[in-house]
Amino acid sequence: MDNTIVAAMEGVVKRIGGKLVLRGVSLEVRSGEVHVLAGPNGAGKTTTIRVLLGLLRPDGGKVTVLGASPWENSWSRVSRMIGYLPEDAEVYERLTGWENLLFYAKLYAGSPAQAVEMARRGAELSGLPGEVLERRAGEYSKGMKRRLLLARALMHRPKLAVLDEPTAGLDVFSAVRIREAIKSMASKGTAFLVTTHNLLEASLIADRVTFIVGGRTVFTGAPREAVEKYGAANLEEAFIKAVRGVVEG
Amino acid sequence: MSKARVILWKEVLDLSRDRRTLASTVLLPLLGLPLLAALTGVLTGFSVVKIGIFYEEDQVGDLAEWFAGQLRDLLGRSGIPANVSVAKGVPESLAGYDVVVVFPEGFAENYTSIDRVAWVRISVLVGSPAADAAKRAAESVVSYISTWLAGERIKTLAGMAGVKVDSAAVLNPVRVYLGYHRVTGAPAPPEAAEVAETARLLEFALFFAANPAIIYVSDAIVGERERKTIESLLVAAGSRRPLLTGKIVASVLLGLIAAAADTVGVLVYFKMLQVVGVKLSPSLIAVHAGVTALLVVMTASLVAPIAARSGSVRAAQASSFLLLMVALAVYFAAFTVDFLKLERWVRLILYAVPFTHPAMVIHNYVLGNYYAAGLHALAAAAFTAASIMIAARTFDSEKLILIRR
Repeated sequence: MDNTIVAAMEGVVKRIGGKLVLRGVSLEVRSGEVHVLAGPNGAGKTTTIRVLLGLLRPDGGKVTVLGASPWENSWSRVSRMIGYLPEDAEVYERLTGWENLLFYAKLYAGSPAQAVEMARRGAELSGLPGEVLERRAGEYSKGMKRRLLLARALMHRPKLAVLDEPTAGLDVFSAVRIREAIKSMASKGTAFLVTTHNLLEASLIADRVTFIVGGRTVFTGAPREAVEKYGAANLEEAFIKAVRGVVEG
Repeated sequence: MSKARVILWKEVLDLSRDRRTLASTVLLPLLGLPLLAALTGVLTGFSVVKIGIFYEEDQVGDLAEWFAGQLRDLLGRSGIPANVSVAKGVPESLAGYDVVVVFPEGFAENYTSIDRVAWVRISVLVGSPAADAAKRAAESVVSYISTWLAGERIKTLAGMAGVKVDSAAVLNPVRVYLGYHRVTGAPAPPEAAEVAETARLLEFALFFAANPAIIYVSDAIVGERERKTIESLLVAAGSRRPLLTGKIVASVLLGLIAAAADTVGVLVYFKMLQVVGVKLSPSLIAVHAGVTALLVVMTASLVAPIAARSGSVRAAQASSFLLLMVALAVYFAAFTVDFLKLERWVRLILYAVPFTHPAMVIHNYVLGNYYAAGLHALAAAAFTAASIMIAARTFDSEKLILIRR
């Protein structure tokens, strides 16, 4: 880890349909780290990610990704360096697995040759056999689709990868494979922002965590610091105490 | 690589495998309407019309037989099978007959007279298209006999008066030499009238060109959200512009293929049913193709903001259906009414509707009013540009993601 800040949010406020969803979210994601964003249901995790990636415009606060704001002209260049896996993302079912990879590779790459190379890397990352990748993605199981989508998000070696619940609904073998891929790429410099409900999983992969409750950051730091701060036995207990502290306080 | 081109590649690949959409928007209109016309023809072939010819005097028997032969011949040429019978005496009931032709008592005497009218009674079954066709055939045979008899009477009268006359000139002393001219006053060949008639048909067919664009755009934009692929795509595309461009271009491309299929289907349908004469010229085909392209782009860009604000593909198509109804009203009116003959204020209201201008390009072009055709093409282009600008402003990632279903 070289500690370069890849993505930062500072006091971000977002209102949706008149309701204040984010009331002050702040976090920093550094190069080569796996940063876990945790929070109870409705805490604003997905909205935080959407604001960070420029899909939603904040009503207040500051957002910077790779030195640019999502609403600047330079964003198009920056977006090529981002990999994104939404929570309920789907594949293009009428396209084959290979074509799904190639489509995104073409969006990221500068030339057709680069696109093919990138898609090949994606195929390798997915771990799906060649004959499977030649089939239409609509025929894949949920686990196969998720592997394909993760490969699609990471095949261009992004500087920032944002993964919303990457292992949700997967069997233990697929989840382990995905965690290993995340750790491996992080060790090569990719910054990961990962949301999860599973704090045990977070403790396995997180270099740093941010807890958000009620649309506000209540903690950000190393898992060990969270355990110490809340006087907990583990990260899950620290999270529970952090949430109760806000709700009861 | 241009991101818009990459999105276009994906859209074309994806839609080329969507057999249901392709079948319903390309194959169905291309084959459906001609098949419908063919089916009408086949059903007509199975519908045998029963005609009874009756006479009351023996000396009319030969004429009645000849009349029956003429009827069989005429109906046979129109593809209408007929069962024609001839008998002496009038039946008590006409039940079972589609058409009954009676040469009543006194017909022979009046027929051979020099100055009396010989009446033929024709009775037609109500509510039967085949009976109507047989009635028209019977009337034309009667008209032929009447003209021939008039000529014979003129010859007899001329012989009695000791003068030489041209019986055809006596029968039709005033005739018409029909000519055509354009709006500019320049003479037009007779086929120009047929081309103009075909142009009205093409104006009506524009409605079918607008339809597929609505389906494609709705699916291309809202479908991404419904299939949960929109967020990744928005992030990877970097900006909404290539996404909107790729989507609209793909919709236009496929819309054009569907529009061509629709137009061919409509023309073949009308040609097979022989409702109107169809005469196309290469320049009219070119103008129609250009206008259709403009219309498809215009429709796609009019629908894009609606689709972007709809919660589902079904909701987008339902909202766009209102637009389609406006297009239908305009193009049906263009088929039946000459817009140029309308009061100025009515025309101004019509000109406020974007769909009017593509029809007016074709209308003015076939009338030789090229300047007006050009102005309407510009108006259509202006509406298209405005629609694209509105679409670009409305096509916002926040609206796309947060819209309520």
